[in-house]
This record gives sequence, C-alpha cells and structure tokens, in this order.
Amino acid sequence: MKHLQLSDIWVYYTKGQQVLRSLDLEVNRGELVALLGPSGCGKTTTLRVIAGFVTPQRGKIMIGGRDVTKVSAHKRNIGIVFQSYALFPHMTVWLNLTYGLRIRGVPKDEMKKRGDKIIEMLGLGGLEDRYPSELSGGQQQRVALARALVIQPDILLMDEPLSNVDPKLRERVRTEIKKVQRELEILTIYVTHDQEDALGIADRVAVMNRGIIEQMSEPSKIYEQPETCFVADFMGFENIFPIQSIGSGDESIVLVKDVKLRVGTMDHDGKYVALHPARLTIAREPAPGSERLSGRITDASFKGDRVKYFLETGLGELSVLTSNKDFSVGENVYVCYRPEDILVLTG
Amino acid sequence: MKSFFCVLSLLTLALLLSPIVMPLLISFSTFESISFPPQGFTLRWFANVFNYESFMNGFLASSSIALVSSFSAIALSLPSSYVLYRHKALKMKGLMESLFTLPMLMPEIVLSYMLLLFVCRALGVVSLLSLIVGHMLVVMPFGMRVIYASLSNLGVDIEDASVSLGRDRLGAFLEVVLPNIKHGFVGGFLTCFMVSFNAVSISLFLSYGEAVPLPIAMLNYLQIRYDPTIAALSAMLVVFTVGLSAVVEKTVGFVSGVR
Repeated sequence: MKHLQLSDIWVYYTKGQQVLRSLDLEVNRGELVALLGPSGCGKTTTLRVIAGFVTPQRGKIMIGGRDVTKVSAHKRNIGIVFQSYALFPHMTVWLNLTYGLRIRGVPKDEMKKRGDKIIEMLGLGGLEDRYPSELSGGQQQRVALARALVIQPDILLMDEPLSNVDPKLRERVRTEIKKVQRELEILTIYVTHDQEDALGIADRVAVMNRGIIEQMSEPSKIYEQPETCFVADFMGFENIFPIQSIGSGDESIVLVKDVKLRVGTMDHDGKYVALHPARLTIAREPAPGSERLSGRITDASFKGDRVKYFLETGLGELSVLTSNKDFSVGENVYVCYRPEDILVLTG
Repeated sequence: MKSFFCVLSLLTLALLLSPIVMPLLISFSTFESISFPPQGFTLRWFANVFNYESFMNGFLASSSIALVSSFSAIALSLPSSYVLYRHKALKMKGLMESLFTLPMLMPEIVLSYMLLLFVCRALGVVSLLSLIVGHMLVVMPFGMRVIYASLSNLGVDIEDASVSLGRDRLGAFLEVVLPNIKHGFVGGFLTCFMVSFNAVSISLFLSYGEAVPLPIAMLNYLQIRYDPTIAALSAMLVVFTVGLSAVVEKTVGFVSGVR
C-alpha cells in the first residue's frame, strides 16, 4: 500500500516516434486510478514502465519513496492482471495462485493460509485442481486477479481487464474488482479505453492522449468539466466549435461563426466551446427569455429511451440527445441551452 | 450432379493413393520384376531388403543424418523464433519471418546446388559434416516455422506474468514458456526428421562414398536390378513415414501447423 510517482517519463522507440512525452503521474496510497485513452495513447506503455517491462529513456519511477527506475521487473513486487489473463496453462489453479509465493519461498503452511484466504475472497473454492483451460472466462479472470494479489504486491496493475468479459457481466465484474481493491486498500492502476469503465471504477481518471496525460481528476469532474477538446470529445461532447471572438461589451457572449452564444463562465484564454448533446433540448416554441439557436433537423437516430437528432444550425452540424421523440426530419426547430452548460476550453 | 462429383472425388482419391498402395501390393508378388497386377505371395523381397547391405547402411546413414541435422536445426530455430516472438516492434518483422521460412519454398535442387558450391568452398571437401550441414539448412525453416507458431500461439504475456511474480527472465522462460511449447519441439523435430529423411536432391548432391543415404542407395539399386525389393522397401518407408506423420499430427497437427 504505497504511493507511486512517475516523473518526466520519456519513452521513444525510434527517433520521431515518441510513446510517452514527459509523463508525470502521482497516485496515492490505496487509490484506484484509471488510465483512459484511445489505442496508441501510451496507457499500456505507462503500465509497462511501472511494471519494469519497458525502461524509459528518461525519468524517474518512485514506489513508496524508493527509486525503482533501475530495479528489474521481477524485483518490483507488482501484481499484474493481463488482458489475456496469462494463466500458466500447464499448472492447476492452485499452482497458478501460489506461483509467486513459491518463488518467494513462503513456508508451506503460510502458503496454504494465504492461498485459501484469496480463494475465499474471490469465490474460487472447489476449482483448485482444475487447469485454466477447464475454467470459464470469468473464473480465469478471478484466478488471474487472485494470483496477482496473493503476493501482497505494493501496486496492482490491470490491463483492460474487462475487454474479454461479456458486456452484460461487465458492471458486476467491475464492482467485484472495486470491492476487492477497497478491501485490500491496494494502489491500483487500471488501463482501459472504455470511458464508462473508467468513470465507473476509478477514484481518479487520467485521460491520456499521444503520450501525455491531458487531464486527471475525479470521474464526475472529468465528465462534466473536461478541460481540453480531446477530453471533451472522449467524454461525448460531440459539438465542439472554435471561438471566433469574445464579445467586447458583454464578457459572457462569445462569437462562433458569427453566431452569438451566451456562456456561464468565460475564460479569457478560451479557444473552443463544447456542448454536450444530452444537455441540449429541442423545442418548437422556445420559452421566452431562454437561450436558443434555430435549426433544421437533418437526421435522427433511435437510441432506445432517447433519440439523437442531428441539426443544421448557424454553428454547423449539431447533435442533440433527448427523450422527446416527437420531432421529425426536416422540421424547423429551436435548440435550447443553459449558458452554464456551455464549456469554454483552452486547448 | 451430386453423384457425379462423388464418383469424381472417389476417382481422384484412387489416383492420389495408387502410388502409395501399388508398392505395397507389388512387394508381395512372386514375379521377378516389377509388374502389375501382382502374382502369388512371398515375403522374399522384404528379406532381400534386410540382406542388402547398402540399404541397411543407407537407412542408418539417413537416420543419423536426419537425427543430427534435425536436432541442430531445432536448437538453432529456438533463439531466432524467440527473438521474433518477443520483439513486437522489431523493424521489418514480417520480412524477417518470411526470410526465415523462404528456403522452404526454394526448389530443393537449386538449394542443393548452391549448398554444394557453398559447402565445398567452406568445408573444403564433401564429408559427413557437409551432408549434415546441408540437411540442417534444408530442414531448419520447417523447424523454425513450427516452433515460432507454437510460441506465437502461447503469447508473450505468460512470460511477463512469471516475471511480475518474481522470476527472472531466464527462469520464466524455462518454467512457463518451455513447458508449454514442448509439443512444438516434438512436432518440429519430427517434421525436420521426415523432411531430411526424404530430401533426395540434397543427398544426391552432397553424398559421397562412405555415407550414402537411403534414397540414393535405392536409386543406385534400381540402376542394377529391377525386382520388387525396391517395392518392399518403399512399402516399409510408407509405413514408417505415415507412422511418424501420425505422431506429428497428434502433437502439433501436421496439416494445420506446418504448411
């Protein structure tokens, strides 16, 4: 249960191809941090740097105040759950579980005690003598988690642990992982490309893009107040437009493509505005005094309890996600917004 | 239409299998020269095979050459396969993979000729060593292919998992990688063995007075005599090869794993 700090980490494979660019990351004891980003953003490389599988060209890795930058992977005492689970096919569940304990020369009776404890914790009782190929995907995953945890690692790393899990079971497995993590209070780095996954499990989310962390904060803040276009886009702010100029008289007015928009809070370095489709509404007759844009519906896509409408407005194409389903394509309508729902982004 | 294709496929099968079945039938024939249909029944030609010294020596030569060349080929394939398997970001990885298995697609006669030139230059004269080296070079792509395939199927994660649990790289390789590719070893070895055993051109070019591999001994015999002894030997070789293939099939799957 130690504290992890990465500072100024650089990883590049060949010249010009930088995987991590001066990455800084600080994680507290017992905290679960999700690294979120598209493939190729460097999240898995970050994980491999922490694990010791990738040696950064520059930078420092500290675990619990100890510099481990030059410590080789097998001496770092880090538990890893691989995307493929990576169970040893020629060993039974019990031998898989106790593999790390045998390497550490843990005495037999203590090995039994620790093994049994983790088996109980993850509900693997009765499977001890099975081989990995005889287990279901979910069981394999729990064995992988148990194997990583039983060595009492300083840090737990998880690489896309839910990507091979049936979508219907994901939420349950996620809750289970979270519960175990809470119980053991283990510092965990959780890599995923799925925003729902990251927001659902993490104490803090670090959104990565092209080798750097664009924004790192609590899930609700990441979701509601993204700071950059990239994060906003990743969080589903589909309507992002560059700011043309800031109103000279009234500071709460910005000009986008000659359309005036009223914003809640203005940042003078603001370069873009972002509007989340779910925070916009459509009306035939706008309520007096409300902020609105006029537009024409060009397309609609059914989403079950809601409909996503695409509109042609003065800003360009705008998407609106609403539960009000009685509009039809071709109709001229008003898009209503609240000024505080328009985000001003600086980059 | 359906029955027409059924008949056609049966005919194709007969065509395909006849060269394998023919020697089996002829080998029991009492007739003094190779002819069809066979007449009578005798085991004389089988006895002949065992009494003919060149065949026995040839079998011994072929087996030992196959054994040693396959073993060295596998030993050399392992490190190269490992490098290709571990280094995802290796430059021109696809090209490397192709280059390692390219000799497999070369006409063996061309390869043999080049080897004759090269081996004679490098090792001075044609000797048992050159014969073994030649065979090793011919069979190595096959061994490489099988071992690389079994490593790739295994994936790199389990080695990393072992390391994360506290084993160093070498220990991880020995403890979790090797035990899981042992089928690849057996399969690769047997494949190499069969390819070496059946490699006629390479033996033809590189064999010499003292070590005459079986296929060459058979060719030599045919030039002197034309009796069913060769058929008997062929029949035994068919059984031998099919037996080996069955073992390979059981271990890695010859059809799916090799070509």
